Amino acid sequence: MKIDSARDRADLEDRRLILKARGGDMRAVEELVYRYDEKVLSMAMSFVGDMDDAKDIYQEVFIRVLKALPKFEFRSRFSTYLYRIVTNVCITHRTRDGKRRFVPIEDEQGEDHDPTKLGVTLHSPDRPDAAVINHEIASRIRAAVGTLSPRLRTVFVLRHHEGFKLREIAGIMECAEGTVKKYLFDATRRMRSQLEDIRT
Amino acid sequence: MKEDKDRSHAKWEEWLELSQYGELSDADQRQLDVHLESCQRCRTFRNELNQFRMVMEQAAPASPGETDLLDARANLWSNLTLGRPEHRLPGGWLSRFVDGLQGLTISVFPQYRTVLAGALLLFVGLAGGYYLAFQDGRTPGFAVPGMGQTDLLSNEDVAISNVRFVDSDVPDGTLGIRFEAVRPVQIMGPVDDPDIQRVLTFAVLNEQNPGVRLRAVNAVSASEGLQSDHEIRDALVTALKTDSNAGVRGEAFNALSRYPFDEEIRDAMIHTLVFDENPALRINAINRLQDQVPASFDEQLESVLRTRMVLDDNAYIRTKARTVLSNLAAP
Repeated sequence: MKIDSARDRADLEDRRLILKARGGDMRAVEELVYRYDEKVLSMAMSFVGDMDDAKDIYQEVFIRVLKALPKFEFRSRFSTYLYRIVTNVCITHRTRDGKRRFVPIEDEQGEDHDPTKLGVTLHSPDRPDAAVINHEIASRIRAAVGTLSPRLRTVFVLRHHEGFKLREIAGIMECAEGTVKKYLFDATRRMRSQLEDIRT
Repeated sequence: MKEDKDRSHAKWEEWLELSQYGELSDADQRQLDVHLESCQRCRTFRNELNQFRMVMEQAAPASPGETDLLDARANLWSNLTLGRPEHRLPGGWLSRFVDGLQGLTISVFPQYRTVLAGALLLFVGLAGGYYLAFQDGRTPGFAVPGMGQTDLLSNEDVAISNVRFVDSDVPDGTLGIRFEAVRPVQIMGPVDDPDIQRVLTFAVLNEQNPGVRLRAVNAVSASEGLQSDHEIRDALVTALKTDSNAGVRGEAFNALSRYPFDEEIRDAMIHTLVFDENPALRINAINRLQDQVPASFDEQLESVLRTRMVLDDNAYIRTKARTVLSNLAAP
């Protein structure tokens, strides 16, 4: 078999580790987890924006994946399968107080908020108040993401925050690349509309 | 006219977005660049997209730090071992998978290759033993050259099998046939009689009926004088590791408990602890291994115990594995 890309090599290594893990090799289990867990935590953080919740998602994802490992049939890449679980868990995740992480944008900003009047401007990192303002904008973005439907939200986060290619997102979501494109354009249009008052 | 223009711009706007994501082909990108030079509307749209991308990049969620990652990892392993039952990994999943690929055992644990090869040699030896036993007339009953054909075929006890045509194309119509004819044999004697031992060993390894295998193992384990017999011990080890019947495996385990703890018995215990789907047998195995710690403790056993500590679905085994490792780690 010709190994023609880094992804193929990674896939082969995953396969080797999975088979060893199934044979009872605990180090292989650990290695498999450690190959991906930073990305999993990062994805969870991108989706929910809260580290405690992201860590909860991390736990749930790996417990699910490790339990299902004996039944994994290598029909897709392990990484694709893993990221699919991450997105599913993120979408259905509820915060520790029992609420869904994503809330409507109006609820988060309060009754007095008028996005058309805010006129927030991103500040360069060397400005003293930059961190505060950027934090506020990040909150706005997170709230806006929360208004998207689960599919649009998934595509948007995977593309804009995690940098996945459209083809990879299609694999994770098990749909056509054209569909992902459509979701992404739709999501971006809505996001731009909601955040149009923010300027760099 | 305006609708046509909008439709046309929808395509360019789509390409502009794809271009932002780096998903536009080189040929399309060149067309887009040419178009941009002459289209103010698309240039404006591109600037808006750039603006949006910069907003997204500057306010991107913070990457998790190393402390967060280490904390998440620690919680994961803790959850898998000590957390709620639904979080714990099923211990049987490894063994269920391996059961289906029993033949792969030798590749998973190469040290068992010797035992399996020994079992095969034992089988070949037994077959040879039967033949030799007949040759010196001690166990009559096998149909072999020299026995009268009429005598052979008139015996109702004889079972004919494996018929082959040797020569069916002769002018006088004579037909040559080769076949195997075996008739049942009954022997009686003390359990340490070599012939009885051979038959028992053969039954432990090859008899299809699990009840017969069980009785054979029981007979072997009841004998005081067989502990020095390596063939029987190897057969018991093979039965413990490969027999599909848990009762037979359990009796083989009990029989092996009477043998001195050596490397092969240790490997059999480890195999049982890792692969046996029966928790009672796994508990017996970890208890026997614990009795031999620290004398027989090494990297392989440590790895097995670490695995069981996390993956076994039996709480006793997880606790026992953790206890053994903790005791070893204690100064």
